[in-house]
Amino acid sequence: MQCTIPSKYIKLFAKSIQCLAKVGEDLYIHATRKELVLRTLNSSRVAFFAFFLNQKFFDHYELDENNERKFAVKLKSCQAVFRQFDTVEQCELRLDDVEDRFVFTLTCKHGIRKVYKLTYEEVDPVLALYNKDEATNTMQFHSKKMLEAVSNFQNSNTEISLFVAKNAITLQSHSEETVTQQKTRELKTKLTLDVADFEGFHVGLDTSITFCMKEFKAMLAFGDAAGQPLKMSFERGGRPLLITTNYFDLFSADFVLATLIDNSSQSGDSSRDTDTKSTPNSNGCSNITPQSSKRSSYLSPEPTTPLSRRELLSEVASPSPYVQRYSGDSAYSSGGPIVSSSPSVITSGSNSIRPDSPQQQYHPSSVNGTYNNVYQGYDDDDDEVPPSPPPDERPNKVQRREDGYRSHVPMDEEDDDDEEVPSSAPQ
Amino acid sequence: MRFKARVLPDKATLFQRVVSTVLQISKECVIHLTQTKMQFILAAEITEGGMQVWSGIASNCLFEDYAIESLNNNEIAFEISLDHLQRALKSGQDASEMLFKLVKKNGVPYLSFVIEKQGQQTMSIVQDVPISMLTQVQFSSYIEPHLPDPDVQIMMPPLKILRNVIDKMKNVGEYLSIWANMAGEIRFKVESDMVTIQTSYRNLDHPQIEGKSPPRVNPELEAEGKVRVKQFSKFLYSYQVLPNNVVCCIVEGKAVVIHILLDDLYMTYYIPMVVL
Repeated sequence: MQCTIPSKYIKLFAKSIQCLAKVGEDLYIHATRKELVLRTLNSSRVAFFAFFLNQKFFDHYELDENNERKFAVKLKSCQAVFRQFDTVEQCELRLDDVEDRFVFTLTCKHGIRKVYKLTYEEVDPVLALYNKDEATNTMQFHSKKMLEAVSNFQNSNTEISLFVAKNAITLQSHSEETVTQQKTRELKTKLTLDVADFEGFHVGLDTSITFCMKEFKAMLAFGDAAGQPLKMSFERGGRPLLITTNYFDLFSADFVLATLIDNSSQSGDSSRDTDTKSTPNSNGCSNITPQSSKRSSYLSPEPTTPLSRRELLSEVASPSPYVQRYSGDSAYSSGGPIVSSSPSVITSGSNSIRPDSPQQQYHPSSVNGTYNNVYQGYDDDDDEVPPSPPPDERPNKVQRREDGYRSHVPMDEEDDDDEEVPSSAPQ
Repeated sequence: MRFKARVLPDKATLFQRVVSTVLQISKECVIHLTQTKMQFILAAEITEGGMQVWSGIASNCLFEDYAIESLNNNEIAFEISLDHLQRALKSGQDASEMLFKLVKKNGVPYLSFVIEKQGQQTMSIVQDVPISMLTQVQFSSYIEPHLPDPDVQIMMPPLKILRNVIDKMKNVGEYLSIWANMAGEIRFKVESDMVTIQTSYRNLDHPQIEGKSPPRVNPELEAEGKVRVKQFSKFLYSYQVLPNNVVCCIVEGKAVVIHILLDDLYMTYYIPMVVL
């Protein structure tokens, strides 16, 4: 796989890498015949950013034997490549199968050439389920205005609330109100914006959503660099907030942010458990109604049997204390089957998962809890559930998920003991 | 207990600068509001090493529509976190209107700033700065230090220049020795095992105290003391306020007192002397 970025788009590409670096640790790259997709997921799984770079964006785009490549690299390393990009005249990205490295070659002014070789892992990208058309509230805005508004908030505020009504938009700082009502010594900020500043402002129902500020700001910073308007669409607390932008037909970006569940809706006992696996029937899931029957329709396009889901659940155990709640997996393992890549798949809930606040657990602790998590999905191709190894045996192993898919590190060369490879094609 | 005021549009910057200057010393501060002035107090218990800052500004200098009402002789005192206050004031930059008042929300007292911004983007912002009220008893424990009359009083050289000098000295040693006489000379010295750096200024003025005839002071009178460089350099942040006068008073064996004056604003820094 090889492609070259022309000098006029270097800045845009660099900014997208910087934006992704503020969000997640790993960059999932998926090179298909028609586009290069860059994706990342933040560690607490409340933000998913995806950049779709069309073939036309590049000067030269080539896939070996037209084979799609899917792999992941560390974002910190990519960020280092693009730390200073004003002298870069041309950038070439290449997967070097001989050396087993992902190579960035930057041709800079004054005849300087910089080559960065990054290790990579061949792994399926992490995907989020979201539906662009489902939203009841939409609006369009320019990042500059929103950046100015958001700059009034203190950086220590981790979350921000957006409230919309027929002709009002308000941004408010969100503080976690503890049950014990201790004095919150935080600055409370509330900002009212003029609806006239937003084009395409359409509100179905008065709503208030709360989402992470840091990732929102990262997205705004990118939007500012791209200079194109951003389209925001959302429904209500618990459902994901989707922001999209595109740079003509060359480049489009999707930013999905999880939102906090509206505390007023849903059942009274919000889940306070921290162990996902042991409480399969907690009803504190995000937007999902307590009746179990509805769960499946939210979670996957094709309902699979509860049994298969449970098996997958145990398979994707994670060593990280934070992630245990969602019984999610570490970044690399693709865990469950992956949703087919069309973005218009039925939405699933989104959770704002806050590891440090046990009171607000919208966590996917239902049976299909994990899969309540936006960022997992079901692959149409999977027709067999892989055998589930004991949780502690597979921390960060790259698994072979599908047929004909070569793992970067062939399993038999591993020194480690855990060798289980559910390589059979899922049913 | 009630309080509200509107910030004069062209004074918002000054207000901001005062807050950011005091913020350099400590985040937590006590604000005391009376009918005529607003005081910022950083007392010894809060700051490290016992440096104190007592600053006051006439209310009609910064505000209009100033209304204060309380059972305690119409005075109000509270603790506030200056970084929150600074954030709130920053939102008010270029605002068409900024007013603030004391409110209680959910039983918690706040200083609530309501800011209207016009121009490129119309916005209305509300910033609620959390505060904790101080009772009369609590506040009475804050007393401005009383020191004997200073031995030497001298006007400081321009703060911007002095700041660069002292910044370099910070790295050399821990203690700064200040010597001055009543003939317009001041010297700053810092020492370490390997090097001694001394900067002297001459032809400085001496402050005239209003109302009194210029004291017939012996020009030979001199005073000296050692202070911690770090504390001394903190007072130098006050250059942002663009003061008219900066007076340095040395009370031998006790403290170095620096008065910063600008129209209706005064800032007094009490820097304790170190006796080695």
